[in-house]
Amino acid sequence: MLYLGVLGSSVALLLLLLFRLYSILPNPRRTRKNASSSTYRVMIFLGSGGHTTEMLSLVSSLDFDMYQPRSYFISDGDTLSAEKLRAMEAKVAQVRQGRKPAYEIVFIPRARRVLQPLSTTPFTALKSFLHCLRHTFHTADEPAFILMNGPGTCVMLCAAIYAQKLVCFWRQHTPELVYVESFARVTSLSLSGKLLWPFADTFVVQWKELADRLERRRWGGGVLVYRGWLV
Amino acid sequence: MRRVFVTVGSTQFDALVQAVLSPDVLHALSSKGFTRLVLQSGNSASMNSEQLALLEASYSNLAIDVWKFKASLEEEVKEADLVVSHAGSGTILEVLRMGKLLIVVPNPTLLDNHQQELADALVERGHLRAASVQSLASVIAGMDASSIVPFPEVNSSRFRGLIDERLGFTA
Repeated sequence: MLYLGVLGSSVALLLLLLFRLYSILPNPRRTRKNASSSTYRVMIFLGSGGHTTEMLSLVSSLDFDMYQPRSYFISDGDTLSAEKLRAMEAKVAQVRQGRKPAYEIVFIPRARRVLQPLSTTPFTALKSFLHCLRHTFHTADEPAFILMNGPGTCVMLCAAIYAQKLVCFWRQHTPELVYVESFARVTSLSLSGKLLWPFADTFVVQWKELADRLERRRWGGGVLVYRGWLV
Repeated sequence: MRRVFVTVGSTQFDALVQAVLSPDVLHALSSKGFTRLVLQSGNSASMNSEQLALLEASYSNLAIDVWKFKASLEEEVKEADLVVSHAGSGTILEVLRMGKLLIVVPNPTLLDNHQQELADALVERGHLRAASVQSLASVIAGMDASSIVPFPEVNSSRFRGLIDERLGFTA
């Protein structure tokens, strides 16, 4: 009897989780956070090298008065990205007559280091995930969106957001997940693009060839956006 | 003074470095009116200083400057009239954004074929030229600035509009 009870409630819990997962997956018809306040917290992942360069170029075009404070997530040890970011924020602040830029930098451990053996990857990935979870958990000021363009570690960030979506069913708004595929991807997705394709609410590509190919392969999911080159 | 800047980024591309320092390419550069060659060789095998001095002596009107790495290549690109680069997407974007003439030489030993894809797509639109290690000299000789389609300025309202719209801030 007890056995049946445990089995029954496990099945029920599993069904509940599956239903919850289904209801939080990207849905173009879902209503979005509307213009009820004047500023919106945002999160931005800077993936190093060319990813960072492209992302900073994208971010610098946004309205900094509206989208603040900005939390930038950078992989541990990637000081170059932090430097480029500070330079970009300082430049924008200068253009806006020295208004104090409202941003913070969060360093997160890498999910997998270059040449790290696969056997230890689950541990480093978990550490990275927990770190992301801790720094994306906002009880009051929920971010309006989270912006990412790869590589690797941003998948952990996405997982952290999804874990919260899964559990925190009482929240009215969850951050819009925006993934922007690199200018370098003309006809095929990058690995992080492939991984995040089912989960991003807004998936942006920069080449018509790629947009057409994805359009043919879609099965629901978020909104695919193509507006030409963005960087 | 006309400058050409050759860069391999952080990669190792021995064949490109060798080709650039070959008589064919140096001759093509010099007859195109280039007076200074700056070569960033990265991790590629290059010549030693004696060999370089000997080479430079045989081209009286072309100064040759070779080094491995610098913190930023931006200054070099800014001063160059022509850039010859491995097909790294970051370098391609940076050089085109600065409005410089660009010849890319994809590294055939790398299996990263999406870089080749990007180079092909941009060649097709006329924004740059591509060459192989073998054809570099003839591509330089045939390089005509007027046949290059200028790369469009970055349109920052596109991304801003896209985000505002997706969050429901625009009509």
